[in-house]
Amino acid sequence: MCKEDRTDTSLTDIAVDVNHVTKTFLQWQRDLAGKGLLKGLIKSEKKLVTALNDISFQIRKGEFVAYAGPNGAGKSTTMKILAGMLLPNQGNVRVLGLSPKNDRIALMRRIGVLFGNRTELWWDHPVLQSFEWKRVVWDIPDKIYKENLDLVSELLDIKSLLKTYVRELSLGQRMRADLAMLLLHSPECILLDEPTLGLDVVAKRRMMDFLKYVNQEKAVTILVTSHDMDDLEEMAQRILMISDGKLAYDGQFNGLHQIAGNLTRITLTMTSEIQPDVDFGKFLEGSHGVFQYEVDLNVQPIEQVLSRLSQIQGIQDIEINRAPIEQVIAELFKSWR
Amino acid sequence: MGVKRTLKRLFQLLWLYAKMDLSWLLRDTFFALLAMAADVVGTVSAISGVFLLSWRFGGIGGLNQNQILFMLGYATVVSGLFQLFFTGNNTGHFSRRIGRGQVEHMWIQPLSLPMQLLTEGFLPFTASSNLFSGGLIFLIALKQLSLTITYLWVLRLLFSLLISLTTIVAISYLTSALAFYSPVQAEEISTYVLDSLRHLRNFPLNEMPKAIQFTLLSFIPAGLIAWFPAMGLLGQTTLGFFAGLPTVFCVIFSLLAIYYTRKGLNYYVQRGSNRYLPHGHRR
Repeated sequence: MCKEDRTDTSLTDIAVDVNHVTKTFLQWQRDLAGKGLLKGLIKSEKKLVTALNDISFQIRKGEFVAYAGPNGAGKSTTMKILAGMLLPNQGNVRVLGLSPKNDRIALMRRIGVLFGNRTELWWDHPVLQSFEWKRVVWDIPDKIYKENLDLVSELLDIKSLLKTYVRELSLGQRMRADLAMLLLHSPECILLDEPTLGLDVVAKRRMMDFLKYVNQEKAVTILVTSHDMDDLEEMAQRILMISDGKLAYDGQFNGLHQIAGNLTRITLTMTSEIQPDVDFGKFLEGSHGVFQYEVDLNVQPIEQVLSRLSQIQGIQDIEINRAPIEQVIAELFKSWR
Repeated sequence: MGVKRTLKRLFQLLWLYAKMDLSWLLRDTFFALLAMAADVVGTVSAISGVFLLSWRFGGIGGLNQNQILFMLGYATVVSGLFQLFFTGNNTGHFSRRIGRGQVEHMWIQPLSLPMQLLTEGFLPFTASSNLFSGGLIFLIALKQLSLTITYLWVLRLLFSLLISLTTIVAISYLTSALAFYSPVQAEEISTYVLDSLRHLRNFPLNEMPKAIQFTLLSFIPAGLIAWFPAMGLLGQTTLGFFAGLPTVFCVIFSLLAIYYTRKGLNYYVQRGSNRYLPHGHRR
């Protein structure tokens, strides 16, 4: 594992401390027919899956950390362990110096947890009702509640949504309302699992700007997961990369680019089906006038790439995306050999 | 947290859920009233079969029709109380929450799980229809029976109601614990079990064979939540059974429910749930 130097960290400065955590699950295996089906009746076969394998990391107070990895890498498992929803098989976890298992109630007063695929809002009530619910359940003092409500309403532009029923909100609006509710009790640390899932570009941008503001202005520690590298690089200062339950990288994005390359995919849609003459990247695939290339921006700066692209005739559309996270991880592993 | 502080929080939260229930009633008043009326019709239909039979034959199993009405009124009040305190957010059908992976919403609230379960289900406006209809039946029966009502009798009634309600809740949680181990198959198990109890409890057990009486007063406690307490309140013989039987079984079922729910919750945080369903989490 590549790890940058972070020795200058006192215990009181640590928001999240994950120490040699291992989490395994048993998965049932079953044949669909024949002998295996009958065998399953007598003795069911189970497979041991290691979701997290001796993971350790620390996050300092006020840091904005991205937790990246492909689907099934163990991101949500880590988040659930930090939020006390799951217990590790081995290892210790402390958030803001508290144990999610033993100090759950005290911890929940100080942190916020949001999963992108679910909502904490009350579905059949106006948004404001959910906020009022939170005020009572979290026992938030009126002054703090009002200040925070004004702040999040302004920053997330949800004033016009407060009286709308949650069930009638779009996904982007709902996520904004969920985020707003998350911050009403002034959490010191927030854990976000795939918060940008399914959001359009505008909604994503708004959410990312808001999270950056909360981190910078309010010094809230943020740990956010995503499988989208672009989103994470836009938001966070540091990235923890996980693959198959192991921590593959812990450091700055620049460091990651230096090791794994700054891989970018360029998709060209041509006016004809003839493959363009591109000499600055690796051809990946192409058909029906759409051709995809891979370029390492560490080798070919973006200015050069754009300049070369402008010389190609017959381009109808250009799309530039960061390489998928699986490839970045593959490059990381390659670099260690 | 001290007792005073706990009670204060309990009432704060009950008040919160009462206000939310009222706002739901006021928003969709027509549909809410329709649902409440349907509840009343359903409840009255469920008990009318037994009552009409007793009316036709001048009683069943040694109880006259007014005593039968008293028993049915008692049973309906117990159902009404269950509906009032444990209908919202499936707090009375915990197997649904477990089966849908929704317990995770509970871990992230700064409240103990018992406090959440005791308050989130409170619907004093939209779920009070059974309590009112049961209360009405109960009062009619009382009037017909010309019972002497003393303070002690009222206390016994309240205690009986509390024991019957706790027994139902305990049975629901005890069976719900199966959903920790088999979330798909057992998601609706508490509904099936409570429905069975509701159908069985309407029959007086006076002249039943002892084995059936014992079964329905112990392992399948349908007789403990209507017939047996009603007999006691009516001053009737308890047919050789210990008068404190409902309390004894209430304690046994409650302890078992607490033990197996805690055990199941420990299992849940070890295994997690990979079948999260958003529906039914918040109504």
